[in-house]
Formats: sequence, structure tokens, C-alpha cells
Amino acid sequence: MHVPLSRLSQNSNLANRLRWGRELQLSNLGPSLNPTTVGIVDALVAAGATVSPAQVSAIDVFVVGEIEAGRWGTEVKRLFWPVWGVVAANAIDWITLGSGTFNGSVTHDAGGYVYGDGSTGYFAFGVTYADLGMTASDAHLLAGRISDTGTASRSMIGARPDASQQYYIDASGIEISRVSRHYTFNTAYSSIGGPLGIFLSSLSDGSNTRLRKIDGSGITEGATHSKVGSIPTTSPLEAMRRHLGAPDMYDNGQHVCWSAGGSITDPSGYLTSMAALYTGLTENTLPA
Amino acid sequence: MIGFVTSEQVAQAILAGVVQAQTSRGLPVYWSPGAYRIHSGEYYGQFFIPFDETMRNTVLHNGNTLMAFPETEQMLALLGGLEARIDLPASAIVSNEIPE
Repeated sequence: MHVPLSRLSQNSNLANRLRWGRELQLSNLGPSLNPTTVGIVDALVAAGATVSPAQVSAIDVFVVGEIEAGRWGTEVKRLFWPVWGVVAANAIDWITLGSGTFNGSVTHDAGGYVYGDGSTGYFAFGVTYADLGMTASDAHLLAGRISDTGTASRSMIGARPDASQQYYIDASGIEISRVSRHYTFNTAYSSIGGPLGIFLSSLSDGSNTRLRKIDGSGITEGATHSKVGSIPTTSPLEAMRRHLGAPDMYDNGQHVCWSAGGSITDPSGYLTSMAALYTGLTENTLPA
Repeated sequence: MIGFVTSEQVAQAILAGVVQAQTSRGLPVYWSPGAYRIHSGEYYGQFFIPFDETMRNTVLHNGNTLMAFPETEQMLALLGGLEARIDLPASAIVSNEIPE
């Protein structure tokens, strides 16, 4: 279902609050916007983000594609794009229009990314794996990272169940899977290349995980690994934080997106869609 | 790391105040300075609340930085004012209880 732009121009916060420069030219955006797009853009603008017509179009293409692919709200249950340079806007979950929480010292760069200070800054989704229905047989985590300024062993996204264990999306065989710079780079994952790009780890067949990455060179797939053990149910899902001893294990690389939810049926399709949106939102391409 | 060292009680009060400042405006809790237990050094057992220039200048909501919220001055007063900040080594908040 689509909302006619004529209605948007009269009734929606989108039309009232977008800062599009001199004049709002809704007709330039095409015949209609998906109502989910309208909700997202409304929320972003209400939080103080400046959303251009090109960005609205990119969001709409993405949303429509994800809904048609069957991922929106089913496989992808939380989705954050912290590219707006405004904390409240960066914390908005595009799926539920709820909010996560940025903690500690995090820079929200208007250039389209966030990065922590490497010791206190991180992002809390505000939910656990269990809250999202993620299980050891049905889960994905995704993180997009476009710069690397620190050392290894930094987590992009994950959760810690207690003081002695940590569970990140990976394919190491220790947990369901993990996305971290360290495990992207160790021997087992050398085939996936460097720590830049959008990383997706998903349980695709109920018993194996596979780490994939899309960057400026395309999609790279890591090896398949058998999952071992269980996943935490009560610990919070977080990004840019690894919970290990050394303070530099908080990731201070530049992050652009995170998502979590169930297994991704079409990983390549999701990565391609996310990469296209990155370009649509930032006018940049992912690093090669 | 630039910020305040304080007791757990005050740290919890600060965090609760930050939450209240957001929810009282009908907003979700999208930001927190965080409070980190100090595990070593001179301030062992106390809590560190980061408050650096990045945090002061970050746009939180609708063009407003942290300093635009009146509650911020109240919280700063509770912590002794900006001049009470220290530069704490990041290693001080490391917990060695967590193995790799």
C-alpha cells in the first residue's frame, strides 16, 4: 500500500518537517512513498535529522525491496543506520521506530558514521537475543564499518551473558556466530579480507553459520562453521563493545549500520540492498 | 578519558536524571553518558562518568547539544562542576575478571 504524495503534503509530518532547502518538491520523488518509508523519515526528521529528497528516495527503494524480499520485521527485527550526525536520529530502529541508546563518548559525524572513543562509547539495542526471538538455530547479526583506526580484537556487534563469556555473531564454533574485527582477521577468516565493509553472519540451515561481507569489491563469503553451544537470553545486544579486559577492545572504527534478527534466507540480496542504501544515504561507496 | 569520578550512588543518580530528562519530554532514552566502575589505581572502587568535549558538542536532538538541556547544569553541579573533571587512564576501568 502506498500513500499518495498529495496526502503527505497536507497531513504528514514528513511534508511539514523535512528540511529540503528552499521548496519541497514532492513530485520529484515519484508517484508515491511506501507508508513505512514515511514513518521512518517522519521519525528521523522529528529527531532532528536533515533528510534530503535523494535520501528519502533511497530509503523508499530499500524499504520496498526489503518488504518484497520478506525480510522486513521478520528476518530483520532491528535495523539502525547511524548516519545522520544527530544522536536521537541515529538511535532510531527503522523496523519498530523505537530507540536504542548511545552510551559513553561516541562521535556522531555528519559525514555519515559514528565512532566510539575506544574505551567507553558503545550502542545498546535495548533488547536481548531472546527478545528478538533469536535462537541457536535462527539468528543473524550485521554490522557496517568503513574505517579501521585501532588494533584487533574489537567487537562490531554482540552480547555478553556474564562476566566470563561473550557471544557475538561469528562462525567460530564457540558460539552461534560473531561479527568482530578480530575473528574476521584470524586464520580461519582470512579469506573474507579486511575489517571494512558490511558484515553479515547468519545461521542459514539451522546448524551452520557463515560470515559474509560486502565492500567496494563485491561480496566475499567465509567458510561454513558448525555452531556449538547456546546463546544468551538475558544479556543486552550491543554494538562497538566487546566486554573484554582491555579498554581498546571497544571498537572505535567508523560504523554505519547494524541489524539483528532471524536467519537471512538470501544473504547476498540483503548485503546488496544494504550496500545500495549506504550509497544512497551517504553518496559514498563502501571501501574496497 | 576526560570525565568525573564519583561514588556509585551519585553515578546512579546521574544516570537516572539523564533518563528522566529524556522520558519527561516524551522521548525514548537514546543517550546516556554511561558510568564505569574503576578497577584500579587511585580511584579504585569509584565510578567514572565520561564527559569530554565530544560529548559536550554532540547534537543530541533537534539541533540541541547536551549543554542546551537545563538538567545538564544541575548534574554538573552535583558532580562538582566542569573543573572537577579529571583525565583518567582508560586502563583504570578495565576489569581483569573477564578473560579473553
